[in-house]
Order: sequence, then structure tokens, then C-alpha cells
Amino acid sequence: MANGVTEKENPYLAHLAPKKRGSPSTSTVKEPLYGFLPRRVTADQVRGALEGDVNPFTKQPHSASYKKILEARKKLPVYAQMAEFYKVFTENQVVVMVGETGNCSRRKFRIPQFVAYSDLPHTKGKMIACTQPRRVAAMSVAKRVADEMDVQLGKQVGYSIRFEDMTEHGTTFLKYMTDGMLLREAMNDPDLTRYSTIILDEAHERTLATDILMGLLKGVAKKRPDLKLIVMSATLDAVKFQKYFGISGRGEDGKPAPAPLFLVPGRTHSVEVFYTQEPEPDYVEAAIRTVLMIHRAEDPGDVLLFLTGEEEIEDACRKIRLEADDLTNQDPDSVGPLVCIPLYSTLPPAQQQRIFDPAPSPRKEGGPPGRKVVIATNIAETSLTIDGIVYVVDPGFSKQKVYNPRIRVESLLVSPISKASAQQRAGRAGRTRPGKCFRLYTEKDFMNELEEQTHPEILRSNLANTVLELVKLGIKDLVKFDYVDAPAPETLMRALELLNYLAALDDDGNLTPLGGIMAEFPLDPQMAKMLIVSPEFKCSNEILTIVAMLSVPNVWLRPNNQRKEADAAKQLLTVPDGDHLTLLNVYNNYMQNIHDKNWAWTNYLSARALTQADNVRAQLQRTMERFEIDLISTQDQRTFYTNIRQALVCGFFMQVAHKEGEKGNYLTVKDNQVVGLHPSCGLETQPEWVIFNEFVLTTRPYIRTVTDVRPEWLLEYAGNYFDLASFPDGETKRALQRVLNKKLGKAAGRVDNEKNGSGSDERVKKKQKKNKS
Amino acid sequence: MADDDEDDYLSDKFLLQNASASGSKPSTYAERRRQAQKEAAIRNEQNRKKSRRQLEEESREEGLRKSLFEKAQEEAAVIGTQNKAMNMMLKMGFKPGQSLGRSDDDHDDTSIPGPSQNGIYPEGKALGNQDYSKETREDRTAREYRIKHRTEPLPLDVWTGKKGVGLGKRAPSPSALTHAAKVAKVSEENVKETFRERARREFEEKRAEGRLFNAMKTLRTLDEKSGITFNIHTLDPNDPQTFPPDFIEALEQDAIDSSADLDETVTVDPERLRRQMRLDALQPIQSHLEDEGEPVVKKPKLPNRKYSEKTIEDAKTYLQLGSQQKLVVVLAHLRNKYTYCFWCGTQYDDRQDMAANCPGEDEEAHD
Repeated sequence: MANGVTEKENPYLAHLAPKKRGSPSTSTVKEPLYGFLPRRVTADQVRGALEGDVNPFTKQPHSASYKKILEARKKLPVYAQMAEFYKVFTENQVVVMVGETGNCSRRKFRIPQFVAYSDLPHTKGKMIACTQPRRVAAMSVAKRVADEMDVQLGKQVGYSIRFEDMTEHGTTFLKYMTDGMLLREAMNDPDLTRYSTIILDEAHERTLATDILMGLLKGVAKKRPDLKLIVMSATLDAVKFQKYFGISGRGEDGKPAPAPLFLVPGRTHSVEVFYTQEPEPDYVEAAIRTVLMIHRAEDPGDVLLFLTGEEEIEDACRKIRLEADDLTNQDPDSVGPLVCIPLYSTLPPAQQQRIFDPAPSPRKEGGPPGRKVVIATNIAETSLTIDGIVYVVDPGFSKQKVYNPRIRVESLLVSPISKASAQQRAGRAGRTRPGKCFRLYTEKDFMNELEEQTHPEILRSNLANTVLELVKLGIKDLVKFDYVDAPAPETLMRALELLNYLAALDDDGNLTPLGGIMAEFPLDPQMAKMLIVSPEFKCSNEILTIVAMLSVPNVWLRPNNQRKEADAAKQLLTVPDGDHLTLLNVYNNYMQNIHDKNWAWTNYLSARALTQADNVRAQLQRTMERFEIDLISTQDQRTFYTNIRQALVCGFFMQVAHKEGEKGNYLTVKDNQVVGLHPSCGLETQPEWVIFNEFVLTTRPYIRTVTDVRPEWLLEYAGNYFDLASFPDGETKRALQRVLNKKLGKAAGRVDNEKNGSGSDERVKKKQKKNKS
Repeated sequence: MADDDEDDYLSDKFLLQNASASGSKPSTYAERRRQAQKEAAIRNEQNRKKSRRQLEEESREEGLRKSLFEKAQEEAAVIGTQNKAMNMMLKMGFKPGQSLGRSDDDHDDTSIPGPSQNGIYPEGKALGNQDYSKETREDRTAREYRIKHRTEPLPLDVWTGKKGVGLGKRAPSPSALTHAAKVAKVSEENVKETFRERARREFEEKRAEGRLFNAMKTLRTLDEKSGITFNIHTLDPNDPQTFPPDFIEALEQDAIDSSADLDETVTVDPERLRRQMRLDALQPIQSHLEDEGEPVVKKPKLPNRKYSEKTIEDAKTYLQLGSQQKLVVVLAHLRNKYTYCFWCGTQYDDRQDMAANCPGEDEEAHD
């Protein structure tokens, strides 16, 4: 087939010595990578291989679309910089790469490919890893790179994300993965020996896993000189990373020199920034006004408005639509049509895709052009790129998750963004042509009120899971670990406390065998513990389901215009004893109706989340089998739910609240935080003791996903935590004391009864029977 | 419950009630009783709701106040056994009050290379190294790149309502006023004082009060001269004359607002929005962003255009200060605004004059 071409001498091998070139008809066809020395590869060689007719990795001829893609690629700035890239990559162990934020997406396709040509990992049984903070990105980038390299996804190029592995052992040499996955792999292979190069993409986002990885990789790189690291980031944090990765002691003054920086020039346009003269009393209203002002007075070009959450976004969408309709009706000759598209993470993917729709066409030929307005949370700040945006409206807020170890709350509060974030937002306006950014705050407030950088996730997260992973990795000294940004000491203390009470760590901070197994589950330690002990309660099947359901996004749908119907549907599936049990019930019903495509939809449930739960469940089941944790269910209807609730206590005994007084106020145990049951809670009554999955602070402090438990269980299964000798004084302690007294009294009474041999009381007899069985 | 409802028999509430009762209102005893009960129930409900939120906030504040290490130490003192998690950390070499992470000594002096033409930053080359004196370089490094790890968790900031940046609750950049307020709070906490100290403090407070009275008088005169009718610094809680009536209203309104529900969202009046848009249409872009200008329709939440929120906020802070702190603030204001030195008793021509002829800012300098 390819003979016609290969008869002639390949001009792209002209740079090689004549004898290396060999006879074109034989050697080039067989080995396009002939003459490539790992890590000494030059740009010319690679260009030659890229232009060749045979895919160097599959040895198959290139498909027709390959050339087309290649031509497009050659125009990109990265392509032109190939020679410099190979120079800096060959000479250094760690390279920090920066580019304008908009360019990240292109960079993440190309650089790993360049590295592949240099490392030639497939010849040594090694791989190249490229981490992404988000699952979706890992999947879509892998797909695209597989296309560009003209290979099948899952073969030479693959991806690996939690609960889904699309790689082939021995074949895959370029692997896209979430940062969390690489961290999990490190647990069983602390030196990451299977990788020749690791690329950390989007490092500026500073996710928890990326931060921990940087700490690990810094150590591994010192031990393994053959391992190369590329840290890709937006400009803002580059200096910090350069310094952090200064590991080679080649500096002038004996101190390590910072890692070299490789700059990929951006292709962004200038953005003009406007501020308000006065602070806005209501930023949502001001945002709506600004969008409409742009629509009426500015040149064609799409608008991106940043708001904080689903409710706010939907609300603003409605209002803008109404107002825009009014405008066009009043003045159809000068105001064009406007579409308003919401974008937030809980939106189904099909609806998220709408942001890529083109702006509406003018209502009539030659009329005023239409405009697209995207109203998004800060996911449009970094992760998603929408072309065609010319105007950005930035009210200066985002919702941020912050964990506080003192009261163990996860707050999800609206707060002002950082300067870095504001700059990022403004940059979104200059993707296609010069744009404008309208900041709904004063320039003075920008300077004085906004923080420099957004706090990295490690400062804002509960670290229980991370600490367990680190200990499993063999990192003993968590205090002096080389963090890029160290978390608050109290957060570490909370994590150690939890892991110690769960018996994953002993009193000296060493990993217990139980902890070792817990770490193998990609779950919070509480859930892992619960799964492991569940066979003792004869409900491991059920606990597995509950854990899977807790690991996926919210399954309940509650469309704005059908709230009542949705709530009624939910009511039908609700188990009055607890939300955990409700989740179990939902899953079981889903499985019974698995063949009914409409079942989820008619019951206001998210089919996507349920499928995902099913996947997660299967995945976790495999892990359980690996550790020989039996899957059992009880047939006894009377103890069915009780057993499950007891197993829940074994994992979540540190998340208990006690009802105080008659007002339905709950106090979290030990921290004494006044909390309310979340409105989504399906409990019929207000039980005295409950366990909860989360304690969140939104508009108010709420506990979410709550189940009724008995105090005796707390004392029995978590005696350490509910040790009254060290319990803080208060109503909760008194209540526990009463339970304890009763229990002791009863036990004493029972002994008396048995001694007398006169079990006159029927009830006592029954109870004894129950206890015996 | 019943006790709360009992009104002072001298209050004019009864007169009003009588007046309304004589009108079209239900007049039988049973009906009135039912009405009263209903009202009481509503009031009761409101009280309860408020207290729930208060409870939540109080418990949160209480919980956030102390670090876990402090708590663990207190606990250990009571029950005699050390907190296990804390023990683990101590074993790892942690010292309470310090941060985690490697100490940054060996990071610090590393200089950051600049870019070369082709985009590659050369290795190990400092930015114009020898030319900078060591100190400036270090300063720069310290300012921009020092790795400073946290010793405390991030605070929980609750943003109220939909207020824009610059209007929120978040701690503003410390001004003289807030600084003084902080000082006041700290001094309040120092309750353990000896009799002599107390006596001295009381004397100083009295003296400051007298001086404050004089300083305010001066300020009022100066304000009048330059046509200023209202200045928060001349507010004297002992003299209601100094409060303009509409300002008291504004303060009350503010108190009501801030106690109102956090969830409360400002409802957007579509009619108002539309009108505002029409107004916007007639103006160039820049001024659109300048907020309302003159709102055509009165806003529900901000009826007081005369006193900005900041003024009210400042006034509140100011009024909470003790006499000594107030004096400091007022004197600073006199100096800054009128170049008047209280201690010299002189108004200087300008700042330069003052800098040249006034010995200093505080009393001691004038001895």
C-alpha cells in the first residue's frame, strides 16, 4: 500500500548520517524511531518521525485524518518551540512550564507527546504519567491525544481515574490520570518505578492531591535521578514551584538552584478592565444590569458572567431572559436576540454542552446580531474554555469550601475571590479577540480587599484521608513533611485523632494492619472502616451499597418548577429511620427496575448518578474480595435495618449529634455546635441521638444525611470515644451517664432475676431470649 | 409567657388599643383575647427563632475561639492523661505555636533567574546579582517568596446577603479607628488589675473625658466654620443634642437590618430594574457602573442615602470606644483635617507648618 511513497528517499531523514538513513524501503518502514537515543532525541528527529508514513508506535501506516491534524498542529507555538523544549528537558531533571492560562489546554496535548518521543518509554517497559485535577479532563484529553497520535484509546494512550481504568498493561505508555489516582498508585509503589516521566498539569490549581504529589515527587526525584518531572502551571505560581523544586545542589552558593522555567508564549489578546466607582449594594442585581447594558450598547461578542451557585445562576438567568425579551420587544431594530445559558457542576453533561452552542442568529436578515450569555460558577474560570467570549462580568465572589478543624465543619460560603482569580476571570475575555472585563467593585477594593492568591486546597480540606495515604506511603514524619504550603497543625491533629479512634493508627502513629486495609479503599476512612466491619453485622452487602451511594453526586433531582412532585416522589422512597437507609432503598429499587429506562426519570432520580453508584459498587466489591471481606445479608427482617444502623455507628461514631431541649436543636457531640437537620433530611421524628455523614455550614449550620441511632450502641461500639471519664461536661454527658446507669442497673437486675429463678416478668424473659439468640 | 405580655399600665399602648377598639375592630372580650394570644404566639415564635440563630452563632464563636492544642492541654490538666493525637504530633517534633512543614532556611536565599530570549530561564544565574546590595535582595525575597506556613486554620468568614465587595463583613484593612477598637477590647480583657492601677485608670479616664469634651467643642467650632454639619466624631452619648434625629433613625435602621435574617435576600423589583436600565441607556458606559446615582424608586434596604453604611459603621465603632480612645481618634481627626493641635491649642496654616512648629502628636511631646 505505502510502497508508492516509500520507494523514494525520505527527505526528512536527511539530517541523519547517510549510513544511518539506510535503504528507505526497508529500515524506515520497519523502524521510524531508528537512531533515536532515549533522552538525547532532537527536534529534527521527532519532526521526521511525525512526518513519516508509519506510526512509530503501532508500526501501522497512518490514517487519513492524521495528516490533517498534523498540519494544524504545526501552526501552534508549542510546535515551533520543540527544539528548545528538548534542550531544556534533556538537560534538567525538573522543568517548570508556564503559559498563559488559555494555552493550558493545547499544552497538555503536545508536551506529553514530545516527552514520549524523547523517553521512548515503550522500549523500556516504562510509562509517562500526566496528571489532571479533574476526571473529565483526564478522559477527554486522553481521547484527543490518542487521535492525534493515531492510536486507539486504551492501548498506547490511556487514562485511569477513580473507579475506571482505561489502560492496557504492557501496552500503554502514555497515561492520563487524575492526580488522586497517581497518589493511590504511589501507596503501593512509593518510588513510582513504572514511570519514566511524570507531568503534573494544572499545578496552579493546587488541588490537595497535586500538592501532596509535589511533596512526594520532590523526594522521589532525589532518590531516582532517571525520573523526570514537568510541572505545568499558569504564570502566577511559577516562581514558587521553581524554588520548591530546586533540588539539585548546583547553585553558586552551595544552595540548590531553582528549577528552570520553560515559557510557552500565550496567544491571548489584551483585555480592558473596568471598575465601578462605588461598591455595589447588591452584586447580583448589578451583574444583571451590566449584562443587559453590554447587550444593548456593546459590539457583538459573547458574555461570561461569574456567579456563585446554582440557585443564584438560575435566578439570574430567568431575570436576564425576561429583561432581554422586554428590550427586544420595545426596540426590535437595535437590540438582537439573547440566549442565556447556565453552567455549574451539578448540571447534567448534555446541558453543560450547551455552552458551546453558537450565539443566536439575528431575527431577520441584516438585523442586530444575537448574543450568548453564559452564567457560570468558577468552573468556567479554569477548567472549561468557551471560545467567543469577549465580555466578562466579574462580581468578585465565589463559593469556597473551607474545612475548620476546631469545630469539624465543612463550610461552603460565598466569599470574595483572590486577585489571581480575578485576573484569571478577566483573561477569559481575551481568548479570541481583544475583550473587556467589568469588575463590579472599585479599583481600591480590588487592591485592598482581595487576597493575593486563592488558598490551596490543602489549607481548606479535611486531611483524614490524605494522612492515611501518607502513612501508608511510609511517610512517618507528617510534621516536617516538605509541604508546598503546610496545612494548619490543628487539621493534622484532627486527622490523627480520627485515624487513631478508628484504630487505623496506633498510639505512636504507626499504621495498624486494619489501617493498611482501610487505605486500600479509595474512600474516607470512616466509610472504609464501616465496610470492613460490616460482615460482623451481617450486612456487608447493604453497607457496600450505602457507601457507593454516598460516593456519587446527589441522586435526587429537584427541578425548579416541579419541586412538589419531586418531594412527593422522594417521600415514597424514604425510610423513616434514616437517610442512609433511604439511599439503600433507592438503590435496591433502582436495581429492581433496571430494565425500565424511565424509572429513574419518573421518580425524580439522576440516572447518571445511579449508574455511577452501580459502577462504584462493583469496583469496591472487587477491593473487598481482594481482602476477603465477605459479602453477606441477613434474611431476618426484624434486625435488617438495626444491623445496618449499628454498622454505621462503627464508622461514624465521631459524627454524632444529640438533641437538646424541645426545640429540635441538635448539639454535635464534644464540639457542642448547635446544628439543625438539613431540609433534605427524611427523618420522621426527631430522634434523641443521630449520626450524620456531613456537618456543613451554608446559610446555616446543618447536618446532612442523618440516621437515628441508639446511645447504647455508641457506648458499646465506640467506648473509647464515648469514655465518660474524659467526656466534656454538659447535657450530652449527663444523657450518656443515664444510659450507662440504666444499662448497669438492668444488668444487675437481670442477674438477680436469674438467681431467683423466678422470671415473673414476661418482658424480662423475652429480652433474655433475644439476648441469647 | 404571660408575664412577658403584661404591659406597663401607664404606657400609651392602652390608649391606642382603646382607640382602635372603638373603631371597627372586634370588641368582645373573647375575640380580643384570641387576638392577643395569637400575637403572643407569633412574638414567641420570633423570639425563639432568633435565639436559635444566636445559639448557633454563639456556639460557633465559642468553638472557634480556642485552638485544639489549648483545649487538649486544658483537658489533660483535668483528667490527667494527654490527648493521643497531640502526643503523636509532639513525637513527630511538633511544638505548639509552630507551623508544619520544613523550615524554609535552605529555601530562602535562592534567587530566581530571569528569562533569556528563547524562553528558557538559565539555571543558577541570579538576576543582576552583584549590583544589588544583599539587603535589598533579601527584602525582595522575603516579601515575595518567603514560604510562610500557617499556624492557625483559615477563619470562617460569613458574607452577609448579596453585598458587593467592599461592603461586606470581612475585616477591612485596619484603620486608626478599628485599631483603637481592638485596643479597647484588649484592655477590657485585662480585668486582673490592682487597686492602684484601677484608680489610676479611672483618673485617666476622667481626665480624658474632660479633654474630650473640650476637643469636641473645638472640633464643632471648626466644623461649623468650614460648613460641615455632621461629623461622627462630635457625637456625644451624654448629649442627645449632638445627634441629628435622622441619624438616630439610620442607626436604628441599621440595627434592625443587621439583626434580620441572614437568608433574607433582597428582592429585585423588576420595575425598578427596568427603569434603571432606561436610565442607563442615556449615559455613557463608565457611569453605568457608578451605581445608582439618584435612585428613582426608594430602595427597601438602603433608605438612608445621606449616611452611607460606612459612616454608620464607623459611628457605631466610635461610640463603643472609651473616652481615652475617643480622644485619640478625635485628636487625630483634628490634626489631619484642620491641622489643629489640641496640645498646642493652635491651628496651623498647613501640614508643613505643623510639622515644623508642633513638637509632636501626643501630650508627652508637649511637656
